Amino acid sequence: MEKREMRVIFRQVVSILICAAVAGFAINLVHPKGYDFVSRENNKMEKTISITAGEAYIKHIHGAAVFVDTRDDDVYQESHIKGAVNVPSFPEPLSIEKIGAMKQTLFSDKELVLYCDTGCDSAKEIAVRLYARGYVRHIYILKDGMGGWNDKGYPTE
Amino acid sequence: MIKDILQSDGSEIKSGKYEKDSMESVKSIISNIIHGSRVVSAMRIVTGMLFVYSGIMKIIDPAAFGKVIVMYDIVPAVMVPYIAIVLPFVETLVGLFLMTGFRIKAVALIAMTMMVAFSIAIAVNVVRGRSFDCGCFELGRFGISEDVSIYLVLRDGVLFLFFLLLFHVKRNYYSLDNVREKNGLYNIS
Repeated sequence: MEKREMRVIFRQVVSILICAAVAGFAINLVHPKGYDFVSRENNKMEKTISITAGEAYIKHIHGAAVFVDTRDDDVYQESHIKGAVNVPSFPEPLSIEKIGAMKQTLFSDKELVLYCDTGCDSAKEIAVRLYARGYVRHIYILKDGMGGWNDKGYPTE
Repeated sequence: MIKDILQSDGSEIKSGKYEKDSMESVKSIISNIIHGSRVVSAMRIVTGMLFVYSGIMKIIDPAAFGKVIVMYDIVPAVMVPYIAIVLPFVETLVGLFLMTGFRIKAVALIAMTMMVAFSIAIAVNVVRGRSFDCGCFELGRFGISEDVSIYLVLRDGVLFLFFLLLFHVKRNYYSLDNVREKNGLYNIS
């Protein structure tokens, strides 16, 4: 077979593959059973689960989870969920240092329940840092934070 | 040829004449196929229909096809969505082009590559001792088992040889390439 002929065939192969790829991704955009392409950071955040105070309390009374208070140290000292440890989300260097120091507690067999005051952006930041350091399991985030826990009258210290 | 054998005195057998005739017959058959055979063209169309059918079945449910790819445990997980999205369309296009006889050499080359890849993937899992539906041509709906097995490796080997033959065939009946060549639109069949 001539070189010219092979070159033409090769160009045709590439054209067919490109057409298939374009058609595939175009249809995928509207396909109900298609794939979503998300950033790795968002993908890791997909592993966090929001739970209510009642659901968290069940884990608490059975000792199935480590509760992590992600607020500042002075707020934590005032009042926190009974048995919770403190890993503040701010400032970041302190937060990372604390995660390192408490790695054995945080990466134990128990589940993790993170909480903050109410909105819980700081809890999500701690979750991202934990995933970045190799945490692979689901992380639970207390939906209404300390506020929701207090409303239910669950134990604090 | 058989009549000649019955009427011979045996000298032709001693000289190997009939073996030479057999070889010549086989060469003649292959040569006829390479120069154009309606049987091969019909097989091309049927194979094309099979590819179109299985491609469309995979396009309808790419998530299910993705799960099958994961079962093979060969490609990294990050590549699974891309393969699940693109491969069914490659298969469908190859099938359409085979059916219509358009760009036959190019699609035969793509199909050969696919058969090699599928054979390797199936063979690896046969060696691992795993058994699951290969997700090849979606023939399970018709009661034809497509569980990973050495049979499927052999089947894909036969298909590879067919596409290799198709790549070398000089004249394809019932094909757009043939029509275009007759009209002098381009030189490659």
